Amino acid sequence: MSTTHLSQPLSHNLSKEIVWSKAQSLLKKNLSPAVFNTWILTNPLTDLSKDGPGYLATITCPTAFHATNLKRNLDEQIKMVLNDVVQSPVEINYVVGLIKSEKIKTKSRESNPQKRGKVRDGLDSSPRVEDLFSPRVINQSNQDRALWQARKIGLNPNFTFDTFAVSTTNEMAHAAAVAVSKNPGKSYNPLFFYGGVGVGKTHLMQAIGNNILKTKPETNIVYCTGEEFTNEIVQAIRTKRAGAFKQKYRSAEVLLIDDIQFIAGKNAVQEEFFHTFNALTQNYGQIVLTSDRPPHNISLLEDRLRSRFEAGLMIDIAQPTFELRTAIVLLKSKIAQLPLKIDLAKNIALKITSARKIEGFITKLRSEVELKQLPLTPELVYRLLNFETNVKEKARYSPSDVIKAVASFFKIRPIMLTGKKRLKNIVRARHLAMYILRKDLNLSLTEIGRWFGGKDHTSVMHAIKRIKIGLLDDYQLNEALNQIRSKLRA
Amino acid sequence: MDFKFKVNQLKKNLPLLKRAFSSAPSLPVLNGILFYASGNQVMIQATDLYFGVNFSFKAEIKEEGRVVVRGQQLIEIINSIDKLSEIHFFQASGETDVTITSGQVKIKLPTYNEKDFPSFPKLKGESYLITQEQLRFINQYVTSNASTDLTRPILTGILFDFHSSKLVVAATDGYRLATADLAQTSELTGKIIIPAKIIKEIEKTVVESELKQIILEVDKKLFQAKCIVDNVDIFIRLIEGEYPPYEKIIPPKFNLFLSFLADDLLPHLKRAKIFAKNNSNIVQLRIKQKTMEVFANSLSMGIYTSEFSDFTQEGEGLNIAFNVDYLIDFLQKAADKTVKLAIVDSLKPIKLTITGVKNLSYIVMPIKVHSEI
Repeated sequence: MSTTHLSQPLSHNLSKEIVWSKAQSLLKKNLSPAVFNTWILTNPLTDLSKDGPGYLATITCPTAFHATNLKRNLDEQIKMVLNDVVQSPVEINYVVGLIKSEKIKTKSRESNPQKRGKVRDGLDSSPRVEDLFSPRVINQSNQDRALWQARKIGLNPNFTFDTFAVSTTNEMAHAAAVAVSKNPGKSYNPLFFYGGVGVGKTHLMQAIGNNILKTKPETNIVYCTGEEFTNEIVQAIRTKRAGAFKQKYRSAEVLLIDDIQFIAGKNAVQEEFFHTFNALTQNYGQIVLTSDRPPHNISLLEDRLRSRFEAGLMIDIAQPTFELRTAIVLLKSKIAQLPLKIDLAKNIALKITSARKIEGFITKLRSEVELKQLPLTPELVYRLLNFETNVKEKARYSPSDVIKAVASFFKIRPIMLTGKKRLKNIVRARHLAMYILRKDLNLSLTEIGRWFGGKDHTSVMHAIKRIKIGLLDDYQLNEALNQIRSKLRA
Repeated sequence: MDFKFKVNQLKKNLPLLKRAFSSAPSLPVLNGILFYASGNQVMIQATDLYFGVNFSFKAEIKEEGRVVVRGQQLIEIINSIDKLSEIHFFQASGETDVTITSGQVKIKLPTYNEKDFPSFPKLKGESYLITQEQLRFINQYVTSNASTDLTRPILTGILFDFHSSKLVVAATDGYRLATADLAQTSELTGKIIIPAKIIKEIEKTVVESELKQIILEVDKKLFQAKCIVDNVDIFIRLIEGEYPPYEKIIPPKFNLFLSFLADDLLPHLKRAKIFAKNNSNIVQLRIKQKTMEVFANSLSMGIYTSEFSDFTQEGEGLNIAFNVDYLIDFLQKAADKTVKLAIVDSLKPIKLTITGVKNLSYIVMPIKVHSEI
């Protein structure tokens, strides 16, 4: 194909079909039928585009024999005829290929029963003879390979993007993870996730791996934890098989290491990781790391590693908000085949604040339904929820800690809390403090009353009741309670 | 024009010449064979524009010339002439007919205008090498798995997938696939699809020659390959298109392995076929532990069962059904050797291999049967 000329599309009154049709009738007059049928009919004009002052025509021939002989014997004639038709000089380019009508013919054949192994039709339970290359088989095979490969690597097949609930606290991390899985080594390298316990770092990291395998099951992905990496290095040094270790890690196309903070302070490990890191990034390998804290907070981490981590994309994943927890409840319950209505899900999310605990709760719910054969009702859910929230941690804080924490949260002075002022927000805070003293520290109603300037036990009872009711549907109140408790427990 | 040569030169390439003729070519000259006598060589060419053959050999040339002789009858006559005799071509100046004599036989054939005879294309591309051994192997185990259905031309070809230092060949008809890994010394890569019929033809030519290697010159832009075997050039129109993703459908992991002598299971399948042919050739293998029932239901015409236990088993038994022809095909090729059957489950492709024949895999799609009739 002549690529040195810039061709422009044809003007509309000179379509290639019309041009060729006219050209053919002219040629037919001058050529014997045998010659016409052999060299013209089977070699149609398939493209005509403007090329400077003239035109560039493309004639497609079924074989090299046609192209060679056409060019040799009839090039001049065809050129002349085309000149006549388009009234401009025409150059011809001969290519070999399938002619469109043939292409359509072959495509229209779809699931034609083969002569051998004919399928019986008309019966309901007809045995199906399936094509080896049907989309279903290919898809299934791709999935099988991806699954098998994932198992080999150590990825949990349940940790995919499909099962990862996204919200404001993790949407940045999620977007980066998706981008990296689509273009490993080319977008963000290294990718560094950090965050507290149970926020989904491992899930997201493994989802990257699983997603890459979906489209390219042969990708060389290495997944391990910081601890496993450390153990392997130690082992490799001890058994003098450093070569195999290096081969495994440095030839990876994607390296995923969970809890990288573990290698801090271990010099030999950091040294090895440094070399691995360089080897991979040089070959556009993708590195994804997770940690429980950002690089600058990992003490005893070598500077050269820290700077490399910081040169990539660092994203934090925060603890899930109420909305995200609701989504997680819905997602996990759906996977466990326990359909929950959204209100129920919200209530669960109100009470349970960590994704792991939600997982535990769903499992417990499932066991009640499956093993004890109980029906899935809201009552069951509430019963289990109450049980859940009643299993308290031994409160290691004192009443004054509680009062200070509550006061600090609502941004008022402790003395206001225990005083007599009846401003709405102070009252609310006061009631909440009473609730915590009752629930977490198990103080008697009278004792609680004493802490708040000698209030009567019935007032305390009333306050606690109001909080209880409020907690049923007041999101802000629940958040307040959770945050205060978190602070107290810390 | 006047020349003579040993009949064998023509006779050994007769099948190739035959293939170069189509029944009713649009151009009359394509009914002819070109003889070009020059120096001490005669070059012969024949083509139908899709397939072409070209070969030269030493001859005794009294007078040079270039003539296109009507081919059909010539080919048929040559068949009956002894290969050791000589054949003499003579065309008097001014005459159009050519007189051909050999021993007692004398024929006169009309000619075509030699200027009308098409030129053979010049190829620009890479040259791949295949050994005679490899070609024989391909034809023994792989070639027959290609399809003969012309509505899906891609499947009528054999895929030659050249990787650096490895050649993978594959053939499938959409329901079963054979693939083999062969060694390659060159680093050339490339994928070409050659019509299965022609691969068989090439082997026949190769057998005659003493050369151990076959050169495949490929011009990818022209979709044309020239296969050079000794002094014969075979021009092949390669099949255009995307070959089905054969590597993708081979399962990575299997759950059940059976090992047995091909000849042990074969009679069971052949008997079952007698009944199965009334029912889309479906034969069920009901594999239990260390024994299996071969089952075929010919609907209203009876049921066949037989028990087969001469095999070793690794994994849980299951029921699986096939088009028995696909199994018989493979087992016949394996003959007296041990065969290993690897199964994932009753709905996924299975893999058959022959112990001792390395790098050959045969994949078959089972048939989904709903109920155990």
